[in-house]
Amino acid sequence: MGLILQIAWRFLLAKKRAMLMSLTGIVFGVAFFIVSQAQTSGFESFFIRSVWGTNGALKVQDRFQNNVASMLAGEEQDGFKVELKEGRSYVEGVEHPALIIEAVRKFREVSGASEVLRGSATAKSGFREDECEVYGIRLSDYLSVSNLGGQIRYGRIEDFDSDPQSILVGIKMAERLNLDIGSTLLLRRQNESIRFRVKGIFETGVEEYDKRRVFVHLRQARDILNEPHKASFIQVSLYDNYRADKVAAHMQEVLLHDVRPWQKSEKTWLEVFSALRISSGITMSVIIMVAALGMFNTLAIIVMERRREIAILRSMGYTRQDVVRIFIGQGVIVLIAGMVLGCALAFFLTLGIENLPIRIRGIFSTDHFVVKWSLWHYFWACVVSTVVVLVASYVPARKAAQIEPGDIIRGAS
Amino acid sequence: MTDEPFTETKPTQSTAAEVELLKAQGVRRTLGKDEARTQALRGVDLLLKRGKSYAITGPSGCGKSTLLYLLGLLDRPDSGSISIMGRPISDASDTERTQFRNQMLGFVFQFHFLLPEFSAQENVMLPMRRLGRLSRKEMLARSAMLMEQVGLADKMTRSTGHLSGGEQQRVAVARALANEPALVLADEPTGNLDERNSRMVFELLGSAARGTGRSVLIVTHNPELATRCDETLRMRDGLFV
Repeated sequence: MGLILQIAWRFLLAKKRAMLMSLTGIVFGVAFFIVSQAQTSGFESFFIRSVWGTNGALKVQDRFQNNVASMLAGEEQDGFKVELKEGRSYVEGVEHPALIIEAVRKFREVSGASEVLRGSATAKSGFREDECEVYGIRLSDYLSVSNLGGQIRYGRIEDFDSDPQSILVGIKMAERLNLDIGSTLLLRRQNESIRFRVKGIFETGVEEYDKRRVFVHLRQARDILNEPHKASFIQVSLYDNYRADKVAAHMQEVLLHDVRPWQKSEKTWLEVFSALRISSGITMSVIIMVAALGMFNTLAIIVMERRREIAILRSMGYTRQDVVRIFIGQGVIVLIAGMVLGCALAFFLTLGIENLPIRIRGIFSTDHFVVKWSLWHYFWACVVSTVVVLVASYVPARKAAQIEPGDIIRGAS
Repeated sequence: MTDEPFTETKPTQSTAAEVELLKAQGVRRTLGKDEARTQALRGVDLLLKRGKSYAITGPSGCGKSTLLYLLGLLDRPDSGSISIMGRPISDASDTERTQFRNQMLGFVFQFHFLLPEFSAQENVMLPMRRLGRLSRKEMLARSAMLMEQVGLADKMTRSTGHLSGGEQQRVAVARALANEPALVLADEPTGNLDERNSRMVFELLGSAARGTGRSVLIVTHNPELATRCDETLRMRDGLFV
C-alpha cells in the first residue's frame, strides 16, 4: 500500500464508527440509486416492448399532399408575391397498400410490414353487445410486426389462422361479453353482419386495447367494414426499433404518407417514465449527498483532531499536496468500499425485486416487478458517488493542507 | 542496550566542525494579533557550524522556541534572512522549504508527537518513506538500527501508545535522525521527562552530533544540560545576550 494511502487508512481506522456511518450511507445511496434506476428503466423498457408488440415500431397511415407555400405573380424582381398558408391536405388511409408495403420493404431498416384495416363495429354475444374496434389482418404479416402470438392467453393462434371465420378478442372484452374459446360473436356494422367463432383471447395489458380490439382476417374485415381495397395503415417493425423516429422521417419524405413512429405515438407515457427516472435518480443522488455530508463532517472532525499529526507530518517533509492526498485518500477508501458494497447490494436487491409479485394492468401487463439490468446504472451510481464524495473530501483536505505546522506545534508546546 | 547507550564526551574540534551550516541575520518575528501582539524576536543573528551542539537557554517567552521554528522552516520571519549551507531559504517556496525539512532537518519536540496509529519502527520510517531514497528493505534495516541505537530494539513493533514517555521521546529522536539530517532541532526535548530519561535523551542527541558532522540545536530550560553542549546561547527579550 502506498505511504499516503497507508496513513489515510490508519487515520480512518481511528474514526471507525463515524466512517462506518458514512460508508453505510454511501452503500445504501449507491444501491438505491441502482435499484431505482433498474425499476424505472425496467418498467419503461417493458412498456416500450409492449408498445412494439402491440403497435409495431411505426405506422404508415394517411396519404398527404403538400400545399403550395407561396406563389409569385409577375417577375421575381417586381417583388409581388401571394402568400398562402403552408400546410398539407390528407387523404385518410393507404389507398394502395400493396404498393406502399413494397416500397416500405425496400427500406433496409425494415424487418416486417403488415397491412391493417381498422374500423368500428358492434360486437354482440349471446350475453350482451358492445362497441369494438375491428382489426383486419393477414396473420403471417401481422405476426412479423407484433407480438400477438405471445399475447394470446386462451386458445391458439394456429386455430385462428386456419379458420377464416375466426376472431381474436381482448381479455376485457371477453369478460364483458362473457366469451370463451369456441363462443360465437356477431360483428355488425350498418347493414353488414358476420358471425365469428372465438379462437383466441389475447391480453396486451393496455386496457383500452383489451376492452375494444378484435382481430379478424383481412378479407372478413373488408366485407364488414365495406372497404374492398384500402388499408387504414401499414404497421412496420424495424431491426432496430429505437431508430423508428429517424426511419419514419425518411419514409414520410419518400412515401408521402404520414408516418408515425412509436416515440411520437407514446410521447406522453415516455415523458412520464423519463420524468420518473430522473426524479428517482435525483432523490437517490440526494441520499448519496447526505451520506457524503456525513463524511464531510467526519473528515472535518478528523482535520480538527489531527492538526498536531498534520503539523508533525509537515515538519517531517510531507507537502501540502501530501496532506490533501491523505484526506482525499480517506474519502476514496470509503468511496471504493461504498461503491463495491453498494453495487453488490444493488445486484441482490434487484434480483429480489425482480421476483416480487405485483399485478399491473392498464398500460402494460405484468404480474411481477420489472427491472432492467444495465451496467450503465452501476456506472452512473459510481460517477455520482465519486463526484459527491470527492467534493466532500476535498474541502476538509484543503483545510488540512492550510495548517501551518509552526502555529500548531507552538500552540501544543 | 543499557539505559546510557552513549558516553558523554566533549566534542573535538575538527575541520568539518568549522564549516558554516546555518546563518541567520536580523531575524525578526512578531506573534499574536492586536493587543496580544508581541515582538518575539528583535533582529537575531546566529551562526551554527557543522558537527557542533548548541543550547539556547533563557526565560520563558524570550523567543527561544520561536527562533527554533524559524530556523526549522516551520515558520517565516517578518524580516531578516536564514540560509542553510549557504542557500537562502527563509523566502523560498513552501515546496522547497518542505523538501529542505525532509532532507536536511530533524525535529524533536517537548511532546514526542508520534503518530499513535503507527508502530515505533513505522514512525521512524515515516521521514524515510517520504524521502524515498532507500528501498523498503534498506529503510527497515536503517530504522531497526536507529531503534537499536536508542535502546528500543525489542520494542520496534509496539504501538507508540504502549511505550513510556521516555521511550516515546527516544523514538522521536530516532525519527529525527532517520534521514541523516545536517541539523537536529530539539525544543525542550527533556522538558516532559524524569531525570533519568532526560539524561538518556540528551546523550542521544549529543551523540548525534559527535563525529557525524551533524549539528544539534537544543532549546532548554535545564542549565545543566545546556552546559554539556559545545556552545550555550542565552536569550532575553528576543535577542541573544
